Amino acid sequence: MLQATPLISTLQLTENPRSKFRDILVAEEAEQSAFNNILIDNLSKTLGQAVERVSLHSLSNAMIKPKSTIISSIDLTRPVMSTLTAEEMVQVKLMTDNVLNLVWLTGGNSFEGERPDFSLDTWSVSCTYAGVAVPSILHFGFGVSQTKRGRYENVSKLVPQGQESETVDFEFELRKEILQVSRMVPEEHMNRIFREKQAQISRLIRLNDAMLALLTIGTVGQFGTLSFTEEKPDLLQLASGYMRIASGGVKCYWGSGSTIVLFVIAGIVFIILAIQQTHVLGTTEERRIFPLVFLKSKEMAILFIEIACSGTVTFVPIFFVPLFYELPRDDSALQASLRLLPFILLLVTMNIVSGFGMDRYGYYMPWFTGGSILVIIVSPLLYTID
Amino acid sequence: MIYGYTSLLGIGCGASSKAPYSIDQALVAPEIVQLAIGFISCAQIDGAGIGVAISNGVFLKTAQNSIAKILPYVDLRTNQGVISGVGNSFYETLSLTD
Repeated sequence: MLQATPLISTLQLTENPRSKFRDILVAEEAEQSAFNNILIDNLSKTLGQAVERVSLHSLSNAMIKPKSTIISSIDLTRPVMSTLTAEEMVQVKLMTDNVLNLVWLTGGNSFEGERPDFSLDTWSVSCTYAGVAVPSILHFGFGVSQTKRGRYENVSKLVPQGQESETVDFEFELRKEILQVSRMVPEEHMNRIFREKQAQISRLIRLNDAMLALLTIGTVGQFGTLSFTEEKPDLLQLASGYMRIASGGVKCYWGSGSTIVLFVIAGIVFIILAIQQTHVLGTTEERRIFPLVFLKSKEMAILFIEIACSGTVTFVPIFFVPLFYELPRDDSALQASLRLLPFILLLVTMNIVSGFGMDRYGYYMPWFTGGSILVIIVSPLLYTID
Repeated sequence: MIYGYTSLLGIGCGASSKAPYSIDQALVAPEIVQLAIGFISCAQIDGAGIGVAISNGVFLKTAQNSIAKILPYVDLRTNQGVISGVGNSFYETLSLTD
């Protein structure tokens, strides 16, 4: 590349070469869908994994998994970055904030200089002014008129390179079906915000906003190197002793090591308990914790299931009704719990009434039938509350 | 509306949720009544625990996705903060128009 390009700093975002390619997402607009049909086909064949596609306007935070790669094709047919609107800025910021690698396809063809308004330098400058954090970028330009075969194959080659290479910011141009590489020299201050987010350089934050932090020292004996390192919950690694199963799918992925290990351990412990209880190991028939004899009786088994269900149906509202008033309705904690009172009072009253009733008339089935019918009708009605 | 629904739910739950305690005492021999009560309590707490854990998991995931939809510029950690802490500072900065 001959042009003087404003430079984007190199980031140490190396991936483990053994790991499979991370999730790949293609961001597009309607004009490029024909191009992307072939591109995605080619990519998934070459890399042997599914490639998702999403239109730029419907891109949302939740779609982008951590450490994924986005291939942006929006710049192929129109000069996006030089004509960026505020809404598009939000979408582009979504990509740059959340991905590990961004493959930015552009129709710029800067070798020929035919479309100067398409190009990364316009982009990186506008990003820096707007305070957008920029991840590693593979910039790949070719003329709109260039032959098709070379394009797709070359994009497929670029993606693994971005995920494995240590120097991650590259610029490529396709000329006469040959991929030309132009390595960009890193410039430290250009990408300060992103480096701060990655905790590669120190920054000031308010104590209020800080997460758990660890006091560390860079070189022992030199107090100038003392600093706090934020402890971010690592979504992919097994966090030592820090895991809540209720956060499955949010703080830890269902597929992550820690979640799977917890489920496996829970299963094993349950099986061990079952074996120990069945064969009365280390305890006596009278003193074992789970009286299995009862499961042989039909009534007892049904009672067990019934009371487990009624436990669920009692405690889920107790847990979520105050939450409903606190979050969307903006009540204080005390107010929210007061609003639970009708439920609690009637629950307790009916407990007593049903006890007396059964004692007096000797029938128990009506209480179960009536109560369960009421619960089954009302629980779905709670879903209709907006 | 919620009051009405939760009141009816309270009646329903109340009518059926403590009855098994009396019934199982009538079903078993008097000398193992304490075992029977333990058995039923175990079921009740198991049901409540598993029920709340599952519904909480669903709630957190749904809330996170919905917040990401209406506030796309908010990063994942702030987003989770909004769900977990009502009194957190970001939540207070949100206005009705946001």
